[in-house]
Amino acid sequence: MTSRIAQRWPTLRVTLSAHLPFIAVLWVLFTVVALVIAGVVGMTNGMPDSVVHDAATQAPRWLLFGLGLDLVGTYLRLQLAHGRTRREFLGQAVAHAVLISGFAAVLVTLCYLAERALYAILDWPQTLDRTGLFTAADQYPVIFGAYWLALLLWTAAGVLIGLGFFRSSGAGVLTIPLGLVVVLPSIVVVGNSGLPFLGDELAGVGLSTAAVLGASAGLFVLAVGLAWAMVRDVPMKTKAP
Amino acid sequence: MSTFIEADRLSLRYDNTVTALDEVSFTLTGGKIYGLLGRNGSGKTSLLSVLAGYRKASGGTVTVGGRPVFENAEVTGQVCLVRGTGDAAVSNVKVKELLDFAGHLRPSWDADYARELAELFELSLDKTAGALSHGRQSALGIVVGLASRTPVTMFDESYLGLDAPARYKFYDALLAEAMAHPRTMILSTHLIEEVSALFEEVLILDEGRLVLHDDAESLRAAGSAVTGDAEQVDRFVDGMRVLGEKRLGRTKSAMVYGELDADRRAQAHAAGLDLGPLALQDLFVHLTEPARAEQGEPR
Repeated sequence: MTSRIAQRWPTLRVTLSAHLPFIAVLWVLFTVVALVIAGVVGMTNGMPDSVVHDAATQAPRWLLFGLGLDLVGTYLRLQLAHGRTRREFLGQAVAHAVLISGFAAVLVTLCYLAERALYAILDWPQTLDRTGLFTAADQYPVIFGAYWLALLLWTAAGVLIGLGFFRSSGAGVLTIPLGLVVVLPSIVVVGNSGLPFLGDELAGVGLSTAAVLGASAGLFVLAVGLAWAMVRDVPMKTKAP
Repeated sequence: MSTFIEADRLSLRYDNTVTALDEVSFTLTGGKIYGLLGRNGSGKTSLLSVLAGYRKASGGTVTVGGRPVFENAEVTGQVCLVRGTGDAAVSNVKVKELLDFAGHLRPSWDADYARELAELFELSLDKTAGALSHGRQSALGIVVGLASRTPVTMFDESYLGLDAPARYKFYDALLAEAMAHPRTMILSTHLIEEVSALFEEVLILDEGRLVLHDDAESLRAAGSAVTGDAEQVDRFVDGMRVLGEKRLGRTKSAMVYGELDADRRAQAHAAGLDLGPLALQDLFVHLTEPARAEQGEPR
């Protein structure tokens, strides 16, 4: 990042410097664990479907959701304490969400590539047990795009719920269903619900790609709008001693 | 940037039920050290939070350099408020990173001075803020406030948890900083006697209202401490407004409100009594004692 960008986007610099290394470290861990599990399952139960696909459609989104929460819980207070405004924070938080979800999508896509290499060595086919916007494990541009979109929605939901709780416990509880609505298209995008009350019926609802993209864009804009409504005059309460 | 601070009928209500600030108006010309005093719940933190843009006022206006504060980056970037141990002390982040973040976020940040202060207060840069003792967390807040080098810097009970030597280090550093880099500093504190020598002006809040705003010298001259033989002191202060008394054996000290003319001073001298300046703390207690408010006595 050039110093000029760093000066214009100080909040972004701070948040990215905290979250990007964290994502990278967890990605290494995730990749190693997923490939070890694939190897063990393959040795004991025969050729498995893509283990990376099973894991990647579930675990990374919770990480990005958590980072969305952290963006507010940790960094909003820090920004305000250093004289930055709520408007600046939200603008740079949106950019942050786009960048970290894109970064995480690149890493997830690399996981598919790494798994393909392992399966090729073992002479296993890399098959998917469920499909979303992508139908094969080697459609890398679509895989990248699908994860970017899904992870972006989960990050936005984290920011939204984080802001709710930054306002008050009551507002926080009210934003949970809103966050759930925001992430709904991600289920169709990756073809896996992974949520306790929303079964895979939604994943197989048969929406066109255009409809999914349109709904995702609409819900992302809605999430940003709601986030602005919550943050624009939010008081920074004193910390508990 | 001008640090002329003006509050006009400033009000703050919580949940539309609790009034934290009730039409507070004042003007601070800037470039001085101001003392903000008040009992617990008097509205000190609320007032400072509005001045820093941490909260939006419910009514009235507050401007710094003639410009409104809330959500105005040009102003909030010039203002730093450290409440207690400081809002910038994120518990799971290392001290070193927190100071780096401050450097990214504050154009006026002085990183060398921050390191110097961190050494002075013996802060471990590699520890997370949450792993620091309460006193060290307060010291971190002080480092953030002083090294921000913002034209308006405010400390709200930032001494909490600091032991006496560390508190004196803070006062010394603050005074040195105010002389080397003159700026508007507002200190909210309960340790009035310990800090009062630093104050150039004093504001006293009580139940959300500003009950006094004056320069510290005038306040100290507004009354006297009369010390001497107990009987002589009692005779001398008879009929005067006594703010407080202390007694040790036959020696007594009484704080009286109101100027003493030359005749009275001569009488005190003749009676062997010492006359000293009024202690701000006694004046503060007098102005904020509940009985005065209940009696409706003017302040």
